[in-house]
Amino acid sequence: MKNLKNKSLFLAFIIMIALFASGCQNLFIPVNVPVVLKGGIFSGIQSPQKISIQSFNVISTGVVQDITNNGNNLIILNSGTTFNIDTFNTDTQQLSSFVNSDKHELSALYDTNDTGIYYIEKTIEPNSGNLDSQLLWTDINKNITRTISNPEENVIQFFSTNESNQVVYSNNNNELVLADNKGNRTVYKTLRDYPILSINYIEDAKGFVFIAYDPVKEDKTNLYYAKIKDDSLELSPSLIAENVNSFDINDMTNQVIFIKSGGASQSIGTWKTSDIKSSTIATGHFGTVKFTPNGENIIYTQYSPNYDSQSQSIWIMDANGDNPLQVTAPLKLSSPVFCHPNKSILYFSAETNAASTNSTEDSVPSQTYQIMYEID
Amino acid sequence: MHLSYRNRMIIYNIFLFAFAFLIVVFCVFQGTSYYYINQAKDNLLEMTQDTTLYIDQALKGSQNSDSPVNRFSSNGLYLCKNIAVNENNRVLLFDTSGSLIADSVDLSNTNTLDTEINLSKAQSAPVFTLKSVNNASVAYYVSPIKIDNSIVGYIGFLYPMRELDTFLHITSILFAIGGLIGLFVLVLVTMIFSKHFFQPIKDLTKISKAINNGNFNLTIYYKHSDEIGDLTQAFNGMITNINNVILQLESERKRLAGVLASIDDGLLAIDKNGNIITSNSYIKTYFNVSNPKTIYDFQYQSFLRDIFDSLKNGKNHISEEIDCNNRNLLLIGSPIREKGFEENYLIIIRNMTAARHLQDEQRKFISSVSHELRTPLTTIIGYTDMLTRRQVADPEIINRSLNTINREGHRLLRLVDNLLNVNKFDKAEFDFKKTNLNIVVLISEVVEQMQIKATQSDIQINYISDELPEILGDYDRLQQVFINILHNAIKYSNNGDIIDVISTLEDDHIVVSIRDYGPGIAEIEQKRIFNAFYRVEEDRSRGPGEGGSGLGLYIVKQIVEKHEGKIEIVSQVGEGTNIIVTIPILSVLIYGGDKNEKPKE
Repeated sequence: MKNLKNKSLFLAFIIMIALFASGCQNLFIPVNVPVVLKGGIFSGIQSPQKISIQSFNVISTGVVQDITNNGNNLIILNSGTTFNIDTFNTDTQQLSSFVNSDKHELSALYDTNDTGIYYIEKTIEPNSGNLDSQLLWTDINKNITRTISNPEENVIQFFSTNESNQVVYSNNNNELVLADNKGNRTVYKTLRDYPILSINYIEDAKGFVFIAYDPVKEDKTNLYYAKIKDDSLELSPSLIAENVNSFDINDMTNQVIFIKSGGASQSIGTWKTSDIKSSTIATGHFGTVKFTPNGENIIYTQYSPNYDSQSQSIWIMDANGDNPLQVTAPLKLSSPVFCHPNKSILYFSAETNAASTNSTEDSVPSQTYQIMYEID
Repeated sequence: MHLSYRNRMIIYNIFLFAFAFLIVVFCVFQGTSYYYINQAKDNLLEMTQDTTLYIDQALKGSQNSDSPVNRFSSNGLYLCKNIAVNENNRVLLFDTSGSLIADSVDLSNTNTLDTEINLSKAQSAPVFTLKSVNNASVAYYVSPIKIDNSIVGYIGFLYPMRELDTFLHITSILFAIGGLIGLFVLVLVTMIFSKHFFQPIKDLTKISKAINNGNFNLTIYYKHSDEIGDLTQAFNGMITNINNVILQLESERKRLAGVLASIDDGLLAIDKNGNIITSNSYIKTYFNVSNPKTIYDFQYQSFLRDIFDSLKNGKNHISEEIDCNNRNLLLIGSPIREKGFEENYLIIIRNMTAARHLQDEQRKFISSVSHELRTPLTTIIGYTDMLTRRQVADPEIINRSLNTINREGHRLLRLVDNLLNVNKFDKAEFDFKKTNLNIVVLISEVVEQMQIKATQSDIQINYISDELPEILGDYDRLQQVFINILHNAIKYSNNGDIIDVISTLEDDHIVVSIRDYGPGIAEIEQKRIFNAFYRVEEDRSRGPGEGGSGLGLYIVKQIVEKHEGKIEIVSQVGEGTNIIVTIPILSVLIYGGDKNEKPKE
């Protein structure tokens, strides 16, 4: 009995030696034997739904900035020797110049009722050489142009509009400003200074949502919510989530969606003013995230592990994070993705392949794409 | 190959380590390979999806009414180059029939993915093959390109799995280094620790050796109560027990040796092969062989070997008498049989010389006594026959006859008295009536009495004595002693001889010497003259009727010895005989003698 045990142990040992000596051949997938990969093996594809692309077209050069409430017009920034703000009619596929300037327009948005366009112009002051960015408004017929911001303030690039025909922006004084194109403005201060990177507004709760540097740890950007209290110009922001890179607010549901970094990967989180804590609905390598206008789907961009770090593909999934579907191949996106308010059409801009190799930061040639899709 | 326990332990440890190590290596390598391959599959599937979308976008972006399949075929090289740039991989595109339409790398070898293409076509599913090309792992992958649910062609990737190779390479180096270091540490630690582990065993061995050499007064000290502790305890218990048993055996052996030594017979125990198991000192006395080891050591005693052989041949009892070195020996041989043991043999050697001699003496005595009794009886019977048959009337004849009968009757009476005396003296409790007496008076009386008889043979007895102290003795018995001696002296003296009797004091002893000038006694007979029933040959006495019973001097000796004295004889043939009696004086008996011998008040 004992002898038998010794023998079997010895045999096992010999087998191990033989295995080791043979160079640790892979037992699970043998070499030189073809394996057919049936569906479901790829962990990324789990959706029972299917997406089919109806069309994929380049509609214009430039970087798309905003879409009108009816979806008929887009704002596209074109930069070359001069800086242009163009509008693009999606019906006629016609591009028309809106502002043509030697000043660098950083971003542009339609106002609440599409009667005009808010945009930021970057100028260099001749006396001091300081950079100066101003918020301007021009009516849609290009007759009236007003400077919304004060001359002494520098407006942060990422601003937004609200439902009350107001523009919401922050400046280099870390002030939060609600203004309209009639010259009315309300300036709010926070108790502590938050260097704000991008700002938005929740209409029904009357509160600001913004990304700002952590006042304590400045290498971290957090998402804050600051509710406007009656008769008070002082705000006390509360933290929604830490390490947030980008966010969006759905105008219909007033739900905040954001991308939060946590170690090697990111997660998509949602938050409502009624929530105490934000909830996570997906993890991955995300770029930007946005609700579709009806709030039923989430459009997001995702970095592909096989591609260089700038290429992202556009994906669509349910609001709860189910059924992720890939819409595009990885592209070097240069704008957020804009959804047509009532059609399955996405607009976005991406760097052209040819230009990506030899171009400076200021003048990367981009193209704006229109993609029509259908989810079965 | 014989290895010490310690080395074996080290080798077992090495085997165990190697076994565990190989299992770890195996698991790590297999697990990692599995992980990397799965990741590669995921990546390839993702790449396929990306690529499919890219091709889809490219085909839909161009305003061409041609079918997607044709557009794919015609744009193959362009798509292929772009995909290869995007995916950073070698890409091959195939049309729906599976023939190559574009390869991102210009290589003449175009049928690399034939197997995969065929399988993919058959299954309408991606096919993955892991191959080893120039010692590098490469995944060969082919997948159909499905656009709007129809296959427009196939895409193939040659996906190098550098990470897997690098990982396996580095890991194997690290494992090799780690294994060697681990092995070294293992051997080192085992060697160091084995010293600690084996110390108690070494101690046990040392003590066992000491016990082997006969030292049982040892105890092993081990303070832990573990397995070794149990062993130590058991060992200590064993030593104590062995010690006790040995002591017991030793005392038993001594007792047995004592018993054997105190036996008055020679004893020889022999085993089946003739080896001596036990013998006692009489063996040397009888056979002059010291410390015999085997029966064959008795070179000159073949009778012992004969007895041994007979016993071996199954005889149950042998008893044999032999003469050896002037001794009469009785040999008794018998087997020792005991259940569970081999048969051994015992030979007892009994010295029968004295007994034989005594028997001879008794036989002689009885024959002489018979003879002595017969002579007076014959005379008496002769005379009485004559008187009754012949009707003798002559008073002188009758008178003479009666005198003769009377004399012979007295002689018979004397003879019987002496016989009774001998019997009495042989008894230990023979009663002496001892009183203080003056030996000079006693001897004077005897000499006076014996002079009457001596005068008949014209023999003169001269008695010379110093003034002597008193002695303690039985007057009648002592008189008997000297009468007896003088009687013998007269008997063996020639007519006209003299007998000198001298009594002196020498060192607290009274020495009485009775000297005759008769024929003397030979030296051999001198030694036996005091034995019972010994008689000097008849012809040496002067004449018939003078022969004694042969008990006279024996009784004399017995009486003298009962008085703590001794009797000696000095004689030479032709020179006469001197009998010397030595008796201690009274003061010696009182102050230096036995308490029981005190004179009665």
